Amino acid sequence: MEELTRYQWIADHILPWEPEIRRWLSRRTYTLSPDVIDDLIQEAYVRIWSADFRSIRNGRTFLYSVVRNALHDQFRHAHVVQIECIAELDALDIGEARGPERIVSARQQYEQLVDIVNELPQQRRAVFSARKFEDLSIREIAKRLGLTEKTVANHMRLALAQVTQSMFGEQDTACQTSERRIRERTKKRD
Amino acid sequence: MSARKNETDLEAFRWVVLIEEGPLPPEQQREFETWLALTPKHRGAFIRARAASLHFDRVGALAAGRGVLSPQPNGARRKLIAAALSATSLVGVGAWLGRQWIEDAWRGERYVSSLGQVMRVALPDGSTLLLNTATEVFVRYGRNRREIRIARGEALFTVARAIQPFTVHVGEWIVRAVSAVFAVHQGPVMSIAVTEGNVEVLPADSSAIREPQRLVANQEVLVGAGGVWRVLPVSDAELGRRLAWRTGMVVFDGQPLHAVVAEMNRYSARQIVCDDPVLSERHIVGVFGMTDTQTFVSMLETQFGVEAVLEGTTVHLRSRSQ
Repeated sequence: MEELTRYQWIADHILPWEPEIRRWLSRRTYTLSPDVIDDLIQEAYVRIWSADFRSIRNGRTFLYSVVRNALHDQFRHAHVVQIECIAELDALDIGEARGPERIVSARQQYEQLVDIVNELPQQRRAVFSARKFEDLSIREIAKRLGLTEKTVANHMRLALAQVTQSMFGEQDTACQTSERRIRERTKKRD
Repeated sequence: MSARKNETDLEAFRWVVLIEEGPLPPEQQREFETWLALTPKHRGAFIRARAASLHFDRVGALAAGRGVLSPQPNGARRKLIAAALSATSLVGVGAWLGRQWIEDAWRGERYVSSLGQVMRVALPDGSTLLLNTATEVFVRYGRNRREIRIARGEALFTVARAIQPFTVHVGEWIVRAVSAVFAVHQGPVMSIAVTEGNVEVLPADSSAIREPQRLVANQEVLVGAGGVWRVLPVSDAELGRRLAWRTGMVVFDGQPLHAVVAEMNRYSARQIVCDDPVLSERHIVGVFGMTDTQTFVSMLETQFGVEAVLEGTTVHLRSRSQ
């Protein structure tokens, strides 16, 4: 399969499940630090990359099984027997999915993306919108904004990381976020 | 968002940004490969970052509904289009077939896209044509004219402003534009939809008495058998959905299965047939690769309790009996 098709397949079938699997990992396996979870997720992508996509019917169950295997291996390497944790993993009832694939309309995806982009700091937002919505090159954006290409590329990198994080990364619950906002506001006042 | 910064992710995105601008210079390419090989984590982070970035390209292009075609597409979108194009050659498709035509009525070049192919044709004045699957057009440019004829299929026109009128001939009709983006679909029902600017639709037979029909952005006209004529408003979102083929995708937003199947069948030699009248009316929401019949059928099987039976090159759909 062509490389680009692979990336697109991953974007369509695996990325949407990343927040869920991160939540699941941190809830079920409370002993795992966020860094270990990152490692597991990265390893999962390597494994997924080498899989034969055509045989995969359900990205979610596939992601779960890949992560579960990675986790088993991790424990083996660490010589730590986390019986409870592994038992939990094995007991996972993947069949009980909320719809085998989450298929959202392009419109919804777009609206979600716009919401996230609107939250970006001003420069990042300008660069991201020009690159992804207007399809301008880094050079063209640099010219438009009167910045160096290097600066634009750096804004773009930070914007991409932030948008990806918001859309697919570990996510605070709304409650935690509002708590944090309140804390920040209180801090400012002090 | 978590305040925890993941350095590996930031590195991965740095490379994604560079790579999407075009091929890396050899030295940087080596640096990139060294970085990738350093630890599997780097590779994993890169795969994830690249997939995410492509996803944003696609969502941006799909739903922005306009401006997707730039005269010189750059970076990611060019690659997306390249991916949508099959390996078959773009230029000079009908070089000699076209030559025979020259002597006849239409002096010009013939462009044909094959099944499941999206073909981009850049014209000398900066206008572009994007041909959807199984489409055939003839292009005739001259000192005083810019004429296109659609023999079959569907095309999206991005017209650059110029002195010469830009006309598209389709069936019994002519579409005239100065500067506009519009799509023409030559099917059982002919449709012309405008995304930007405005166009005029008039009968090819100049003796016919009919005022040119003016269409502005977000309007479309449907012409059925016998010249039955309807002008309808069409939203940006709907245009984006219908023109998703630009990026090699098809998008359904609650269309009945029979319409969805008909659309999927346009792009593939593998035909899908649904004889079940109840099933045919089920509403489908989804985004699929235009030639990816497999995923589409899998989705029906897993989400709609459909049983798919392959007979020859035809996939028959029926409700799974309990």
